[in-house]
Amino acid sequence: MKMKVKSFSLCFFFLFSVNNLFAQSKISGTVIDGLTNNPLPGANVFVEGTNYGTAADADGNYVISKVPDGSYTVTAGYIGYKSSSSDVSISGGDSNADFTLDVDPLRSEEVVVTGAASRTTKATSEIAVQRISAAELTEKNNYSSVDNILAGRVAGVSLTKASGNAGSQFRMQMRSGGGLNGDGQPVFFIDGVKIENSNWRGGIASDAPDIGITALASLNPEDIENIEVIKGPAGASSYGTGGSNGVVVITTKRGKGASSGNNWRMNYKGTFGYNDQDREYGEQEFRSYKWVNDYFQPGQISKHSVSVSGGTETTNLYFSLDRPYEEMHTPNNWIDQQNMRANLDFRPNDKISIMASTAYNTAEMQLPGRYRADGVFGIVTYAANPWVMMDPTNERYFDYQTEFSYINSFVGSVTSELTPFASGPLAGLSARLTYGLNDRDNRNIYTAQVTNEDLTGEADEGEKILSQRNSQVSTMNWDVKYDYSLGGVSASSVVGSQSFDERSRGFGAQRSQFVTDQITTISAGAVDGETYDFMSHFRSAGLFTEHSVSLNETFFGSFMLRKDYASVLGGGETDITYPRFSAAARLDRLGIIPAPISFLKVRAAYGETGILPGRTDAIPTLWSAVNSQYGVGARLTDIGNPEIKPERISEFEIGFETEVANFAWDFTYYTQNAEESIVDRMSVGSSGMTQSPGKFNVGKIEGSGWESQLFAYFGGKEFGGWKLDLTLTNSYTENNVASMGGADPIYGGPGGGKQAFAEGYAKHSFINDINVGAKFSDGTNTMENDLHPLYGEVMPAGAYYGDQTSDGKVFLGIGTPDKTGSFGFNLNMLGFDFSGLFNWKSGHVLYNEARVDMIWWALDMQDGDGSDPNDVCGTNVIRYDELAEMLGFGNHCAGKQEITDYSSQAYIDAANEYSRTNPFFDANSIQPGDFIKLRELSLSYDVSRFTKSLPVLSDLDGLTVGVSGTNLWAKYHEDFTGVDPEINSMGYHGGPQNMMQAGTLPTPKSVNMFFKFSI
Amino acid sequence: MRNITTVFSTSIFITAILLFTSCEDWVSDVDPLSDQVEDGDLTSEEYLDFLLKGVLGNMGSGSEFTGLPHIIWRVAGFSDEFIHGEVDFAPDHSNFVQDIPMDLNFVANDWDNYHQIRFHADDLLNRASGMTISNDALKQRVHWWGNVVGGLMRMYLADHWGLSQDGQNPGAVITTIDQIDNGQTGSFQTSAEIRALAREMFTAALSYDPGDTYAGVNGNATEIVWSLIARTYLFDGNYSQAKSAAEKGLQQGHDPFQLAHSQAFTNYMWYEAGRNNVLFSANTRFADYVVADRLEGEIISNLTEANSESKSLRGPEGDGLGHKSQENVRDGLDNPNERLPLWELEGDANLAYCQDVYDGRSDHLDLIDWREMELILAEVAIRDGNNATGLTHINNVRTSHGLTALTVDQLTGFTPSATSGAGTTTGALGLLIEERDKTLWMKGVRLVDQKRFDLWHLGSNTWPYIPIPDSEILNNPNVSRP
Repeated sequence: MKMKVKSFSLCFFFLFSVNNLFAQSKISGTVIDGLTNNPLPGANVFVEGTNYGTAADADGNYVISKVPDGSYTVTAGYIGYKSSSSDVSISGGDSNADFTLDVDPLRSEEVVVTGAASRTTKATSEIAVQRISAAELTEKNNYSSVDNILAGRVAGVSLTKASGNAGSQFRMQMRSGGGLNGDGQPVFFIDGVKIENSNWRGGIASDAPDIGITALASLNPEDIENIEVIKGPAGASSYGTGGSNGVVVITTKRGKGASSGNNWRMNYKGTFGYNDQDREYGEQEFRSYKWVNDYFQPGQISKHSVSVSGGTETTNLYFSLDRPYEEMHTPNNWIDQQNMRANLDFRPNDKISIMASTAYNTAEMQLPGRYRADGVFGIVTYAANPWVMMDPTNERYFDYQTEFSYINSFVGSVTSELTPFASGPLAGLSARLTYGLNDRDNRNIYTAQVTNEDLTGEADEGEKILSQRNSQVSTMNWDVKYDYSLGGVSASSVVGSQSFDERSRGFGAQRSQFVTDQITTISAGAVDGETYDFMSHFRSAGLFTEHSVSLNETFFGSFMLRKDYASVLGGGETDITYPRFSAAARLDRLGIIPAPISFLKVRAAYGETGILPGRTDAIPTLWSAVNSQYGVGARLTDIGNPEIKPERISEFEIGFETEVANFAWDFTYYTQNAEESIVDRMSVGSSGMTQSPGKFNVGKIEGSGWESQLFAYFGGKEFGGWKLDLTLTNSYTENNVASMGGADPIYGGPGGGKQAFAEGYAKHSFINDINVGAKFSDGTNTMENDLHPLYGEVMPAGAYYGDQTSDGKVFLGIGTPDKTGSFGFNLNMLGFDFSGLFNWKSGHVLYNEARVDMIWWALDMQDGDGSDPNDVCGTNVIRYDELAEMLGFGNHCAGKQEITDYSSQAYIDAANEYSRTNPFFDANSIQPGDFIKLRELSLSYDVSRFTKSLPVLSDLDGLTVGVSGTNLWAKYHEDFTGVDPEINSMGYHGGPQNMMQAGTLPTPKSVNMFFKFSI
Repeated sequence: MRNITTVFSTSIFITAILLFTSCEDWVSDVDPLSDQVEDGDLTSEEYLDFLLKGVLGNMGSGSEFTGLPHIIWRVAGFSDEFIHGEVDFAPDHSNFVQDIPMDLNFVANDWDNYHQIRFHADDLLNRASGMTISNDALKQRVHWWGNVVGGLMRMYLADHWGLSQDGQNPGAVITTIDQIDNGQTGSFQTSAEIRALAREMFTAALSYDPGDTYAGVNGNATEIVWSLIARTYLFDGNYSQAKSAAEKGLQQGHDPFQLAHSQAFTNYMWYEAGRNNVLFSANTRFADYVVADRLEGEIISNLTEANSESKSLRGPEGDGLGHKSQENVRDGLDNPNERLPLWELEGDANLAYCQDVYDGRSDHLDLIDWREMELILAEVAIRDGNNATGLTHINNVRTSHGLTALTVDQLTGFTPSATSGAGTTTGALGLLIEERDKTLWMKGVRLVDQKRFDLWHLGSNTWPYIPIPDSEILNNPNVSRP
């Protein structure tokens, strides 16, 4: 449709034209905030129907030069404000047009992505899209990665990190989470290029931790203009298969040209700060809490970001260099990056524009080691465990294992747009072609040095693991669009295509038993370990058509159809078709809405997407070459299903956006339905074909929920103008696995599985055996607890001899929160900018394995609180120690007497309590994960209010100093005894497991000072 | 401006053309698999050796839940040969005893492991039987190993598994390749029925000669097969056939049938029950055996200071020769043929003893040897009342380990110690049981001996064999618990 787009973020791209030889006059004026009377520096002013335009300076003044005589409509706009227009006539002299802009709490004029080839303003969008203005956020805070920008800000999205370490993978559960297959991750695009974001860290199969490094760690947050999130199939269906868990579209900054004059601008931002332990831990978190607390240390943060942007009439450039170095909160753990970006826009004439984006990142990281989640940290939490026998006071321990990752990443794209006809019936015809490439090399080197010291309970013979992986995604998009109108009807038709070519290749080698500690290259290892190489090639393509109509800019409707194709080896089904229907109405334009309501739009959308089976899932059986002492032989490794089809997920959403006085509300309700969900079903064990489960289209999942964003603003002209913005985000979601088609529940997680996809329960439910108390002997029962001195012997009548297990499994909670929310504020006054963000999640549980460790090692505890290795009985006694002594499990420094009267209530109570504390019942360590966090806080001051009057600093623009912090405070559920419920070592997986704490680094507290200026 | 209908129609027409223009060719034009091969591509003779090595590797490589070494290790822990948790304890694996929940993963994983090894052998035979093999040596190898591994796994299924907790239903379920192809599942078969299936395969193997030098055979192919047949007959209680087969089995001094190991493909018993990592330690009766007769074996102590409870004669760290850090610590001991080499170390509450039979990572694992044939012959003789013959066979075993030969009086007057593996059985049979306990340690037979001689070491509420897991029962309509 021929949309009257007033967004000024886009307008920058179309501001320029060849000089008009007859232009003689200029239009000038000021742009100010109607609420505060303060200028709006950077506000965009342009002449409608022309390519003349400019941006306001620091005082809100603007000048548009060389405008030919005539009558024009001049429009001014600014992010977060409603645009304003003024009629101007020029006839041989200069004209003036001043603008006073009103706050737009809904940001309804922002242009948002609504499909693979469609964008529209939020005011007319038929689907729920949330846009985060990252450029505004990075002005006020330091974000080490994209996920830190996203966390807590998107309604209906729960973001979980696998570790608090730098670059850690993260998971985004969108709404009710789509279907059963796949990795549960959204598809990420940067400037139109699909990003390969698989969870890879390297290593060998037997020891590779689940915690990989996200490809998005290579994206400099300072380069991001905005992030748009489409949350479910109703919006994402035009992205086709893979969009079932939403789409995240990241747009980077671009140069801003000018129709005349020089508008080049250099920005510098310097950040200095530190990461540190978020809080001191106590005996609730770890038995060895003193050692753990000592293990943390402040880590330095420094970051220098320089960017140059600007342009001429035909060419715009954004160029940036970024040099972040960040030490984390534990020893020998850091990330050192170099980022470079060049975004070039070229518009040789009115018909053609070319936009190129290139970014290169090189990163070197030292990771906190392998084995048990975050390596050394994971083991330190065992410190009171004599099994490990490590001595955390021995610094050798912290560097005898090292792990480095070296990552080089390139993301680049070129987009060409052609509008071949300036007038006539084909004036609305345009075509666009995008080619992009994401290439990523990741090398990982793990070394365990030769040592005879009892650092880990035994001498280490040395080990080295080398791993290398290259991944490439080529993106090719094209679309042809025709905008036209007929009377009050505006319409638009698009046909287009997306295609992706994805390859990965890699290898790894391992050797152990190093002959000397002097040579640590792999050649010195005496024994070959696992060696492997791999290659994967996958292609997918989608053809789509979308047709939209708009009646009097009041009623909107569209229809989309997409047919997807994908590489499926073995003759399986290769294509699937997805529809989408959507509609919206601007009721405020009908004249029937009461006056206080200045904006009211209702919208509804239905769409479908899907999840592909694996590339080889349709092949009946696959055999691999496996080495053994008998030579290399064939082994059955994968069992497939030739009948497998993609999983289909549909969604219906309905919502509204409204604005009443200083308040605005954006609300969406949705239902999701996954049909033919792909379920893993294992053959019976007696077949011998259980090397992998087969895939079957038999599952069904139903989900629903709502999400809400409330906005409010207050302000006035007092104190030189002040403004307070408030945002309250809330969401609720639920889902139910309606059918598994007769398949067993699919359990995930270590130790037999804690969480499941099971019929009748929500995804990620904890369904476990629970302990219902002690068993008391009738005089013939043998002691079942093999920790007891009388293990295997007949216990006297009335004595405790074991634990009672529930008759069947019991539902204990869900691993994903049903309620998430955040509250953000921003106060601007007297040159100060003060902002903060709280976020919370509730209604979910997690498996706290650290608690298992802590309780379990109670009976081995000999080193007290860990402060003195020679201390036989320390002060760190927990209830489990007392109960163990009361039941005759020996002396554990708790000072309790064994109760020998088995009929006494004290004995019965102790036995029942001991039994219910048994760490081997997973249920006893499943805890609520509810939390509220002060995620961000920042205070900055605009020093340029004073410096601009100083001649030597007069060229400095926007000189700002500030201090910011992240993860500054948190309150957890009183029954949670871990370190950070938002960190989950299984957090990246798409399977049934997603909530487990086991030796993973908690998120650090970060405090930064920054200063920035522009020239 | 064109009519809106025309425009819509045109764009839809273009879209339709594009939709029917095949993208399939493009998405199908991807690099072929390089790390896996489809089943149908392994049907010619040239792949038989590749498949055979897969069968052997699947059987011989031991790691968690894979390979025969893991099975022998696990069943030793399930029986009264090993104790769990005396030294090391993994919180995730708290119970290896018999009151385990039926859906605990490790039982299902073990069940899968037994059958995966069996499946590979059956599949090899299935493929070989459908082709004419021009290379006779290859044909001999394929059929011998296919039948031996297939028979071996059936034998272990019969020996180690059962359906009900009361111990009345030893046996297993096998779903054959034919049944898989027809969408069917197998039914429960008793141990005796499955042993008969195992013997069929062993008997078939007698027609072939592997003729190769794979570690573990060493030219005794026929004797190995007869030895396995003898064991199945003994456990079926068919003593005459057991005697007949044992006489044709491994002869005195001949090499045992072994699983080969190397520095890279290590001995799992060394790794998970030896001095290196002691998730399982030896039942303390094995230390008692040594204390009672110091010729049985040397106890190397890992203690760093004197301990009055120590049963090692060498004391802490063994004065050089027995120093714990030496992999060849046992070289040069007084009795190079010791039967019960042990390793002493600090346990959770008491001193613990670990097997030191396999004291190196590349030690081959014995599956069956000539001594077992001698003890089968001894048992048959004793059951026939021919104690003298029985004693001869027992003494053949004992003297091979550097132990003193026993007299008939010692045989008939045998009284087990309080901790003996013979329980309370006295006399010749008691001695035989104890000799089997000592000699056949870690060979996967103790669980059946405990059943045969009524020596179950846990309460009546425990499973006397590994329970066929719920993963089978709940998904196989042909099997239910009685």
